Amino acid sequence: MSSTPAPSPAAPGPGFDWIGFLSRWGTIISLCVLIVVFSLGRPEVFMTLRNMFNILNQVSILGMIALGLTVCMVVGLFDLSIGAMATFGGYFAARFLMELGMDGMGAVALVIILVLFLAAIIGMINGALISYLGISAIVETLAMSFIVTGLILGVSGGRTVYASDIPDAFKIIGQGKIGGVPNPVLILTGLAVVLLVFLEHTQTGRNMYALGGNREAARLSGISFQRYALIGMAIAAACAALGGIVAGANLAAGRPQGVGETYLLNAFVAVFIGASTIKPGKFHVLGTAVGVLLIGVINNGLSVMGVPTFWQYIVQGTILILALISANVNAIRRA
Amino acid sequence: MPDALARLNELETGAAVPVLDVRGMRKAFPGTLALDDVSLSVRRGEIHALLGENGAGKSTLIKCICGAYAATAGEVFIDGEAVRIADPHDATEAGIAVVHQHLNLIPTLSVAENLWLGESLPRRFGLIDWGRVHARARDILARVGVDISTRVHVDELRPDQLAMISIAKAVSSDARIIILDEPTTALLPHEVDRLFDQMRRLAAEGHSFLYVSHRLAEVFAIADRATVLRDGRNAGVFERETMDRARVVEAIVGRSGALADRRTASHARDEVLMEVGGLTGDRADGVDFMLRSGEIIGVAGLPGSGADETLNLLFGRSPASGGTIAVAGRRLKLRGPADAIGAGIAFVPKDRLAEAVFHAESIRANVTLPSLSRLLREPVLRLIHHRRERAAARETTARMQVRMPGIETAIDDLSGGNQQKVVLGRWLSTGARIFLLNSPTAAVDVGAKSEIYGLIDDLARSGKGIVFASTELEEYPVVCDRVFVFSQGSIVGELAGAALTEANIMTLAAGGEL
Amino acid sequence: MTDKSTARTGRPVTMARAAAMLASTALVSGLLVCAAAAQNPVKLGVVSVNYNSPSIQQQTDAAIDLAKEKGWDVELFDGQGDQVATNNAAMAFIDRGFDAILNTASANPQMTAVIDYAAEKNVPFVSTFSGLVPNIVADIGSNNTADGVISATELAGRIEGRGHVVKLNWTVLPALVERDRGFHAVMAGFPEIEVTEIEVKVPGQVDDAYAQMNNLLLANPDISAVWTGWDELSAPAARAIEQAGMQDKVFIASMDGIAQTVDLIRSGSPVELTVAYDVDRMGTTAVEVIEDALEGTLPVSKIVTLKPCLITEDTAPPKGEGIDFANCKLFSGE
Repeated sequence: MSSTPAPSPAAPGPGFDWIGFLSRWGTIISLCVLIVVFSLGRPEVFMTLRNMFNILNQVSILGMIALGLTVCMVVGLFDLSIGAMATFGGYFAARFLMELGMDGMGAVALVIILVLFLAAIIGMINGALISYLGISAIVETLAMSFIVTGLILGVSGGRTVYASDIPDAFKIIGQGKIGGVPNPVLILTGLAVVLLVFLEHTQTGRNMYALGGNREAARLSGISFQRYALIGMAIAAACAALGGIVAGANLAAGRPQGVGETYLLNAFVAVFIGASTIKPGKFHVLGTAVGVLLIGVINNGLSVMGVPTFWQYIVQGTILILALISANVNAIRRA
Repeated sequence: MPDALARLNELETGAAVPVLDVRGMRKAFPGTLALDDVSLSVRRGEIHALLGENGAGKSTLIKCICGAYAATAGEVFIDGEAVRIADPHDATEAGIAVVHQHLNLIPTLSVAENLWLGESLPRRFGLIDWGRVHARARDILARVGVDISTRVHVDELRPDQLAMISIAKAVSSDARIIILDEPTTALLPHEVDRLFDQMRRLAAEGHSFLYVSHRLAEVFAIADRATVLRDGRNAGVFERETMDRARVVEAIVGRSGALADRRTASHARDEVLMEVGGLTGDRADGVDFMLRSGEIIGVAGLPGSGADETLNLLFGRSPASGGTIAVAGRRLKLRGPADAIGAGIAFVPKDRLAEAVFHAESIRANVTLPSLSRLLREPVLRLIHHRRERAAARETTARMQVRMPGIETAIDDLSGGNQQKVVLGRWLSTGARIFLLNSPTAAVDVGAKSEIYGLIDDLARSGKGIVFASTELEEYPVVCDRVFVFSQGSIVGELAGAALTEANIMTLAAGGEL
Repeated sequence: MTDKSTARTGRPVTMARAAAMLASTALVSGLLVCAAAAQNPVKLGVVSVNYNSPSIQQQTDAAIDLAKEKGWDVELFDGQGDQVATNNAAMAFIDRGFDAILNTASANPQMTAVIDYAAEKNVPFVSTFSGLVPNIVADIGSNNTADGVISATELAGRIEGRGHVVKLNWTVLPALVERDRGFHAVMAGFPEIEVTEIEVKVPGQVDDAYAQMNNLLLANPDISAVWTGWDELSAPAARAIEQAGMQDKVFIASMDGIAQTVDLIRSGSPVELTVAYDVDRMGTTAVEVIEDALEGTLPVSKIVTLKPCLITEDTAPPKGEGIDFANCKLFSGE
C-alpha cells in the first residue's frame, strides 16, 4: 500500500545545501581555519617547512595506528587492543635486537618483519574469535589487550630496553631523514598509500566495505565475514605494532608500558573525525589522514602559541564533538 | 454475577452497542489513498477477523485505530462514545490495546517485570517491593487463566505463551478491545490451538478481539465475524453462518485483481538446470521439484509454510538437514551462499533495504560487487580495473533499464524499483543460470513492477531458470509458468495453465482442496 | 524452577556460615600470632601502587632482598596503578596478621585509612617516597624541595642567571610538586631568566615530552636550558634537542638518577646533570627502620632523609657501576 515515494535524487533545490556541504567539508574547513589562525599567531614559526615536517613527524606514529584501525572499522569491527599492540611492537623489536646483539640493516629488517608477523597473528586470533564464535569485538579486543599487556610485563619484568642496547640501524628508522623528510613521515606516507590502494582499489577492500555496510547483504553476495575479519584485524594489529616500532626507534627505547595508551584513544578520535569527512558515515584512509592531521595541528599550534596543555584537551574534544554532530546531522537527513 | 448476567443478556439480544465502531475512516498518503471510507464494528465478546491481501489497507487501518497514524478523516467510537485518537497514548486511554506480530515484550526481563512495564514498580522503604510486584503479576495471569511462573524470563517462553502474556497485559489494562496483529506467525499448529482455546474462553467472558491474519484456515476456526478489505475499501462483512471459503476468497482477491496480463507463453526448454530431491531444513520438509532452462517456477504459501525457506535452503543461506540439490547434473554441497554462487545460483532477498542494498555506496559498487573477480587487473593483489568496472556497471544498468543520474549516484537516491533493478542486475554478470527471486517487486511502484516482470521474462528467454516467490499472490499467474503451493513445509499442489489462479493458490495454501 | 529458588534461599545460609568461620579463624590466628610472635619469622607485607616503574621496582626489590636475608616472610602486592586495590591489599595484610607494612612509593595521603588501621592494630607502617602523614613510623626518602633547589641552582649557574628555560613537569604527584616548588624558589632569584612551563600529558609523557620539546625549540630558538621534573622526560627531551641540531646550545637538568639518564650524562648528550637518589638504600633503610620499630625503637624523625648525589659528566660512575653515594657531592662548586 505505502509504496514510499522515492527520495528526490539530490534535487538542486532553491538555495545552497549548507548542511550537506558542512558535513562533508566541515573537518577540512576547520583544519584550514586552525592553520590560518596559528599562522597568523606565530607566522615566523608555524608556517615553516621545518614545522610542517615537525607536525607530520609528530603525528606519524598516531597516523600508522589510526590507519590500521581504519581498516578494521571498515569491516565494522572495533579494535581496542591496538594500544597494547603498539607497546608490543616497540618493546619486542627492541628486546629481540638486544638479545640478538647484532647491528646492521639485515638483522633489523628481519626482526621488524618477525614482530609485524607476530602482531598479525595476534590480530588474526582476534578476528577468528570475533567472527567464528560471534564474540563482541569490543570486549574480545579489550581482553586481548590485557593478555598482551601482561605478556609484555612478564617478559620484560617492567624493565625498559635502553638506547645503549639498541642498534643504530634500528634507531635510523625513527630518527633518520631521507632528502630532508623524516623517516617516520616517509613510512606513514607509504603506509597510507598502500592502505588507500588496498581499501579503494582492490576487490579485497571492496568486499570489506560491503561487509561493514551491510553484513547480511555481503554474505548473500558470497563474501565471507570470517575471512575478512581475519584480514582486517591482522592489518590493524600489524599497523599498531609498526607504530610502536617507529616510536621505539624514534626515542631509542623499548618501553614495556605507557606507549600505546595515549595513541589508542587518539586513534579512535582520528578515525571518527575521518568518518565525518568527505564521505560522511564511511571510514576511509583520506578521512583518517585528515583526522590525524587535525590532532597534530591542534597540539602543535597551541603549543607553539604557548597555550597551556589543558586547552589542547579541550579544543580536541570540542572538534571531535563538532565532527560527530556534523556526521550525525547528515545521517539523520538520510534516514 | 449480576454483571455477567447483564453481559449475557446483551449478547442474546444483540441490541448491544458495538465495543469498537469505526466509521468512514480515510487515510491519504502523498500520491495514494490507503483507506477510503472504511467502516468496521466489533461487538462485545466477539472475535472479529480483519482480512485482506498485502496492501489492502489492514495495517493502515489498525495504525489509525491505535494512534500510530493520524487518520485523514473518520470517527472511532468505543462503547458508543466518540473518542479522539491522535497518538498511541489516546488509544490506550480509550481502551484499545494492540498485540503486535513482534510482541512488545522485553526478552531479558521477567514475566512480572514485563507485566508492570510502563508503570512504576511499588516500593517499600525505598526498595522495590518484589512481593507485591509478583503478587499482582500472578493475579493478572490468573485472570486470563495462564499458568506461568512470574519469575521466568520472557526469552525462556514458548511463542504462544508470549502471545498470552501480551494478551494478559492488555486484559489487565481493562482494554475494551484487544487488537491481535498476525499473532500466529511464529506459532506451531498446536501452539495456535492453545492460543485459540484461551481466546475463546476470554471472549466468552466478554472480552473483544480484532484479529488480523493471513491464514484463512485459522480465521474460519476462530472468527465470529470477518471484515474484508480490498484496495483500501470495504469488500464485505461475513457472519459466521455465511462465512463460506469461496466467497471470502473472492472478496479478498476481487474479480479484477490482476495487474498485468497473465503469462501465456513459456520459454522452457528441455535442459534440466536444477533438480531438488527431498530437501528438508528450516520449515521445509521433503521438497522435490525440477527446474528447466528458461522456466519460471513459483513457490507460494503463507508465511512459515516453507516456500520462502526453500529459497533460503537452495542458496545455502540456511543449512539443509536432508535432501539433495543437483545443478546441471552435479550434486551440490552448500556450506554457505558463496558455494551457491559458485554453482551459478543468484539470489534476490525479500527485504531489499536490510538484505540487499549497500547503503551510501554508489550504484556502480552495488551492481559490480559479486562479479568483481571478473573485473580485476591481475589475480594476486586483486586490483580493480576501474575502466572495465565502469563499463560493466553501465552495461548492466542499461540492460536493466535503471533510471539514474549516473553510475556514481548513491543507491539510496534511487526509487525502490530502480534499486531493485540494480540488485537484480548484480547477478547478470556472475554467470548465474539459476535465479532465486523472493518478492522482487516488494515496495515498488506499479510502473516499475511491470518493468521487472519484463526483465524476469527476458532472463527466462535467455535460458535462465527462475524460482520466484512473492507476498502478493496476484503476481504468480503473471510471472510464473507453474507454481508449487506449500503448506506446513510440503508441496501440497502444483498449478499451471488455466488452473494457475490467485484463488486456487489461496485455497491450497490455506489447507483447502480444489 | 523449584531448584533455582532453593539454590537462591540456600546461598545466604552458607554465606553466613562462611562469615562466621572466617571470623573465628581470624580470631584464633590473631591469638596465635600474639602468642608465637617471638619464635616465628617476621611477616612483612609490601605494597606498591606502581611496582612496574623502574626506580620503584629497584627500591622495593632492595627492601625485599634485605628482609629475606634477615629470614623474614615477605609478600608483595603490585597495585598496577590502582590505589584502591593497593589499600585493600594493605588492609588484608593487616587482617592476616602481618607484623609490618612497607609501602613503596604509593602516596601516603591516599592511604590514611590503612595507616590509621595499622596504628590501631600496632602494626608498624613504613613507607618510601610517599610523603609525611600522621601515624606512620617513618617515610624514607629525600627532601624533594631541597633536591629541586639543587638541580635548579645548578641549571641557573650554568646559564649565568640569564636566558630562556623550559620546565617540563607533571605537577600532580606530590614529589613532583615539591620539586617544582624548589625549582620556582630558585628561579624567583633570577629575574633575567624567562621560564616556559609545560605540563606534560600523562600517560604518554615520553611521547608528549618529545613532541612538546620539538615544538618549543621551533617556536623559541632562544631556549638555552631545560629542567625536567623526573628522569623519564630527559631522554625524549634530549632526542628533540639533538634532532633540532641544538645540542651545543641547549642542555637538560633533571632529577632521579636512573641508569638511562646517567648513561646519557656520561656519553655527553644534552642531559648534563641529574640529582640522583640512593634508591637501593631507601629500600634497605626502610627494612632497618621496620626492624627497629618491631623491637620498640622508633626513629628520631618521621622523615628519614637520605643524601642525594649530583651526577654530571665528571662525576658519573663508569658504565655498569653504581653511584658512590657515600662520597659524592651535592653541588658541583663544592
